Amino acid sequence: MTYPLTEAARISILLRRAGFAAGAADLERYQQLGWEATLQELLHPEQVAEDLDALLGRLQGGLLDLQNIEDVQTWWLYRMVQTRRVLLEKLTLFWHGHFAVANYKVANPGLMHRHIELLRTQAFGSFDDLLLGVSQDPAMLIWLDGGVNRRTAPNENFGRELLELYTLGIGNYDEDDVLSAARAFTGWNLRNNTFYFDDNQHDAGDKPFLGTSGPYDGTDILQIVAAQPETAHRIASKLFAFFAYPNPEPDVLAPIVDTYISSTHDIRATVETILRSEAMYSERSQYEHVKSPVEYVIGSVRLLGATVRERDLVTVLRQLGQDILNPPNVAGWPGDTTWINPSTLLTRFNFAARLASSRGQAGDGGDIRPGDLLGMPLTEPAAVVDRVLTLAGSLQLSAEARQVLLDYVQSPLTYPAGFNGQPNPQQRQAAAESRVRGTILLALASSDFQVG
Amino acid sequence: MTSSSRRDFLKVAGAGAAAGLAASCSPIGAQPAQPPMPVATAVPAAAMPPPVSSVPPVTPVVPVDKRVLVVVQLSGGHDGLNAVVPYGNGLYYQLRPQIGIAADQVLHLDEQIGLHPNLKSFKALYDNRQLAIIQGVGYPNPSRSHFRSMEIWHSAQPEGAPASQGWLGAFMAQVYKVGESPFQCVNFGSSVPQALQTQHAPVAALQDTTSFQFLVDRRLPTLKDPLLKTFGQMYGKPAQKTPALELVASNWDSTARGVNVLSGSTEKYQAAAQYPNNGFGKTLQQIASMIAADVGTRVFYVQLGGFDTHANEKPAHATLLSQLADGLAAFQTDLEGHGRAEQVLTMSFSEFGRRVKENGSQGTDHGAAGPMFVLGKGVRGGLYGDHPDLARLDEGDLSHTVDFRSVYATVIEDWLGAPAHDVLAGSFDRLGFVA
Repeated sequence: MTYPLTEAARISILLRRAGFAAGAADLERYQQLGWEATLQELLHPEQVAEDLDALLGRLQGGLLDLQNIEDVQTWWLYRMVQTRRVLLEKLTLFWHGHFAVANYKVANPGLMHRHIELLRTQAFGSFDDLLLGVSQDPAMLIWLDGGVNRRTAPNENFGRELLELYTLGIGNYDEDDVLSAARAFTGWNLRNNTFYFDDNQHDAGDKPFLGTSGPYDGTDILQIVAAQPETAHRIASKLFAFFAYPNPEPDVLAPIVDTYISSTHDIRATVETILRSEAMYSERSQYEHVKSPVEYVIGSVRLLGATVRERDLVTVLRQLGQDILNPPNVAGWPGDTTWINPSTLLTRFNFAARLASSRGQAGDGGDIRPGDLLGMPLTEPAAVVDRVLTLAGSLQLSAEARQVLLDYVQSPLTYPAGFNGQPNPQQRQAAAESRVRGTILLALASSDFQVG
Repeated sequence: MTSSSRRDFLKVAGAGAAAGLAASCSPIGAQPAQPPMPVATAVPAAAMPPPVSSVPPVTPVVPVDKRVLVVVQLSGGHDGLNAVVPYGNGLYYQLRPQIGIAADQVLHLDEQIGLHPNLKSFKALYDNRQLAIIQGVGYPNPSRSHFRSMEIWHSAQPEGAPASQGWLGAFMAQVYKVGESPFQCVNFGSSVPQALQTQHAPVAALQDTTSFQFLVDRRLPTLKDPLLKTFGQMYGKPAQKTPALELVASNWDSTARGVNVLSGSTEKYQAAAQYPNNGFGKTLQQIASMIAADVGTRVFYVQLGGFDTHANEKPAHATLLSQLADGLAAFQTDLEGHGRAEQVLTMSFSEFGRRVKENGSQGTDHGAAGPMFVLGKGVRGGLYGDHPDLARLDEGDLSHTVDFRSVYATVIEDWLGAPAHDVLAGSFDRLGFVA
């Protein structure tokens, strides 16, 4: 990145982080809007026309069976690829990682679908409302055994993870607080896959909690924990790590924590402070943000304007370590550098190879645009390389790597094994197009494209 | 990457997908055993077993740098009390009226202790003196958080700030051979656990050894060579030398070298045992294939999850124990069939045991100490440590009788032949379960 950043570069970064990157046509529209108006559009999805729900609604029951987990995963990936409300969808993914409910225990794809819909509906509201909604959500009640938390023998599972993972963080409560939280949620139960409060199973007695005491019920506990400064700090730093980079400097984090508190836990305001923060556009942010599998896969699809079978992406994401709707455990995906290892890199390479070589033919799973790039003459290798790097989100390579790529574009064309004699113009054109496709693959597989 | 290793990478990259698949589909158990590995003539004195009067050693001594450790993480907090059952103690049944394992179902090890009925494969290994059960393993002031307790087990640092280096990472940092196998330390899964992490030795994470290849467009076979050659020249030259970019570049290097190693070797492997048809069994089989192919791994790490049994514990736990014991028994048989059984020691652990008193939903909440299993032909089988006293619980949980770092110290010193003091930041008594 060349600093100071141009407005175009800031918009490009914003769309990668607060969305799923933008292909050429979308990018042009946002560039015309400018950074401020783009930010406003991202923060106010209710003002962006969207016909996805109607379209997906028509598919449900037919092509999409919401009792099948792979269909629910496909449904969500379709949204990520298609939606115009990109920040809303990205934030929904954040909350999925935060609350980390998994179908391998819930074992009810329909409830997982409802869970994600809940996260999306509440994604931009107050954290208190979101927390209450999730705590009474059937998938969560199954996930952390809320449905079997009884007065006579409290089940600590939800109470503990609420304090440790969803709000305060470890070290900010003790074992008595865990037991009190568990008691407060006794009677929060399920009937016909819907939340209901079972008074007979609720422990209405006094409970010592975080230095206070009272006949708290679950709602009281949620309000208390959402208002703790430790929660403000934890939510702010997790959001910042998701959008920018892990372990931010205290002075970078402070205004975000302040916004959470002064806005009475308003998520939209908190996210806006992050997206306006200079730190998000800094070199540190550029080079210490490892692309998550979703960012890599959905971003590549959007950048290339590709049409793909979203169902195929479910498997790819699983191999990349981000099996959506099945996070690895209650803490969600650790993210950051843990995304990177030989197995996941190889899967990234092979996904990029498949994407770059797809031609809209049966079996190859889709097609990529733009056609004029694929038809570019190789006699101007610098123009080809520059177009590919621009397409890959204005990817910056080292001078050496760029030269290697130029040499590749210019090297003699190769033909299928067994090919003899002079190629005809059609064959020569096909070989030249393969070279451009190879250049796209190399850009998406480069070390540089895995971060930023 | 050196120019010669890049050439190797280019030579085989992209090849062998069909062969790899064929190997995984071949009939099980039909392959004769491979010849046993050569026994080194000179064995370091430190690695020699204690002298046994007049009885010759039954198994050849494997040099320490050929010894393999397989660590099995039982994720979620394993209810060891229902696996190694104190069936002779009435308190056990008082505290677990609904989920206790009935005495007549327990596989008796002695008058007090027995194994869960689904651990019958473990009972057989125990009877063959190839299974050590270390009871009551834990650490002082136990944390009941999955993540904090896991961090403690992974770092071997129960106190103070969390360490970034894991205990196995610290061991690997001592023995890692630069430029040799990219698979010296292997985790099965999509990310690398903290236990394996270190600045000084890369860790490979694998999911499927048979599909570890570069798959470039099949319709354009000649595309492969110039493209992969270009890639080999590119990935090590990122635009900036930042930690994240250097990490990516070095992992690309391991990937490229790994494709070479795996595509040339493990495809020849055929299982010499029938593995259970589940994910854990399949992973163990892949580990066996890598050991049989001698790809130079010192430490394998694998996880079996689902032990967080807060509700309806009995059926879920029973299934998991079958997967664990039957998978590892098949693994031992397979290693035996390939002449590798002397070379491998397997150890299981979990971040904590579970509350002794069952909860109101036929499950158990997070607890403290629990048993560890160590198995292999290099193990001196039997019961180690004291079973925790059910009459003296610590806030409802089992108090540990063995510090987990004693188990680690035994494995590092007596099995892997490395000094444990630096790895564990202290000295701990060894337990004698390595033969």
